[in-house]
Amino acid sequence: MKGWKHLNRALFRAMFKQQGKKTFNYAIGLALYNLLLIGVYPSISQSMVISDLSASLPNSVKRVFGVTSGSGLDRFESYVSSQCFGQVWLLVMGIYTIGTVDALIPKLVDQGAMAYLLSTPVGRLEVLSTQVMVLVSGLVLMMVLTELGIWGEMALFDIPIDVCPYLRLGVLGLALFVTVGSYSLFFSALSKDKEHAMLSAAGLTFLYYALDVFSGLDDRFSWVKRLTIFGWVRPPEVLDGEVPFVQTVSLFGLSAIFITWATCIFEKKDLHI
Amino acid sequence: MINVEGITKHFPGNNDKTQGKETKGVRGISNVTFSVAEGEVFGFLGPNGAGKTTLIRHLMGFIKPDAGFAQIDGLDCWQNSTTVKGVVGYLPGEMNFLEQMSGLEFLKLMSGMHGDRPIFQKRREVLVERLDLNLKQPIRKMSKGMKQKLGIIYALMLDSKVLILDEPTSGLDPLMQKVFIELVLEEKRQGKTIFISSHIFPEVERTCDRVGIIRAGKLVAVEGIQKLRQAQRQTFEITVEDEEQVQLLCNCGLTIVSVQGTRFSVEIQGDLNPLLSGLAQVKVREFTQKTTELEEAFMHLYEGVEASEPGIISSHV
Repeated sequence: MKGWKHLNRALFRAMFKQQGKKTFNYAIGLALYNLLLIGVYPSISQSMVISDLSASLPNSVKRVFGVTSGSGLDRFESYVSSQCFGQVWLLVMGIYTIGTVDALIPKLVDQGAMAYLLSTPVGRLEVLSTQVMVLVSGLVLMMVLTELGIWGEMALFDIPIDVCPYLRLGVLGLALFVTVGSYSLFFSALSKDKEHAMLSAAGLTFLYYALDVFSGLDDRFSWVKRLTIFGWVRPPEVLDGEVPFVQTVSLFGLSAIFITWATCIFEKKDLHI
Repeated sequence: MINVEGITKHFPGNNDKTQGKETKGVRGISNVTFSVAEGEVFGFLGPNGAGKTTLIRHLMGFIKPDAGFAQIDGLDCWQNSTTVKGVVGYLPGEMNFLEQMSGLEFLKLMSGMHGDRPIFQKRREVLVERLDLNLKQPIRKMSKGMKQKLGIIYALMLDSKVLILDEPTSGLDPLMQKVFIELVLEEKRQGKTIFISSHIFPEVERTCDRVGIIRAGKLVAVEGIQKLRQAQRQTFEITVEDEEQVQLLCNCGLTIVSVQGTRFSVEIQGDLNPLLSGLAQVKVREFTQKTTELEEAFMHLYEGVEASEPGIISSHV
């Protein structure tokens, strides 16, 4: 598609600079949170009380919070997957993604600033594809900074790790949030006002999140996991060595469909700016 | 250069919430037809909600017409919107910039998106000096007038063949309004085609060659500025020394609308000479002028005609 080959450099630079500060703030926040979690790991792993506590947790709670194997919190990968890539991470990344999409398209249309961008000889497709690239670059930066933060903190506390599973998890996480961003973009192209678009995106994300939690409550509901994109991302399994090729490709494929759909709508849409 | 042919756009009767403002029962525009020749300055007038901004959105390719078309430089504004914008400098009616940027960052972004030609920077520097704006200031901290200046600098720095300016002097102080008029006249001398949506009489009178008026989505008149000047009614409130002098002026054939002792109001349409001749015979103590709104003057010109002919009144299209 022509639009994807021709991103607008000036717009990308300006928008990435605008979003950069927010991205760094989120990434630093996550890194500090992870530093806190990893900092207490050595004492937790040696604590008999914590080990007993993790063993006594009901299976449904373990599944929901991503605690794997019988040893639970005493393995570092298990600990990291449940804490650093757990529900808080999903929540923070989800908020960042929807907030960034909001700032890049619906907010500009709603407030009228899009009139300036579209008063230039840069087509709608080019503007939208540039904004998508700003979003994807921001998500890549978030994933890279999160992982670098974890590796740095592990080096600080002298904890040995295998880098490859973390890279796979990083790519899978990127695919997941690009998907969240792509359907948020789709809703913003479809809706007439920003509130409706963002409410739809946040509502669908919450639904996926709730289904993911629900699927972990009991083995009878495990099939529900297939219905939610959050169910396709299982940090414990990936850090335990699973290669999530199908999930990663599926999420990127889904993103491509939503983004193409959004660009088709945006290109023909009446913009009251 | 600008050709609008039968443009029609109907909106649903629902409330239209745009840019924080809610307008009830927006009907859009119906069968609007006019053209603006190369090098001409065209004023576009109408009350709020008449359809001025809707027409400008068509010219900018932001909305698709239900019927008809708009062309700039021979290109369809919807189908070839990207190419069209290469020849257009645009000043939106609402000053909603990318607030986190400084003025300079915003203008650099716009230059970059327009292809970053060296002339942009030269013109920008000249305009910044003439409009006296600090570009280093963050946009969110700028006043309405400062934002308006920034928008004017953006529209004019591009050296475009066509300028589309929506309420260009809104928020500017009288001194800056004067500077703006000078700038428009300079652009006009360079052969630019300019489309101005405005309510301010001096701005339109001094810059525009022709004026079109839109009401309830229909273009009701397009007329030369000379005819508009003649149509403009002016009311003068004058105080003279004694009542005898008032009587003297009444006998001069002036249209006296009210008399209160030595103070009276006289209404003039077009030629001022009868008033000046009359005043030469008396001793004036106080003299104030009230000018009617441009739109009011225009509609006054077509009073009665409008009732019998609902379509476009003027043939000067």
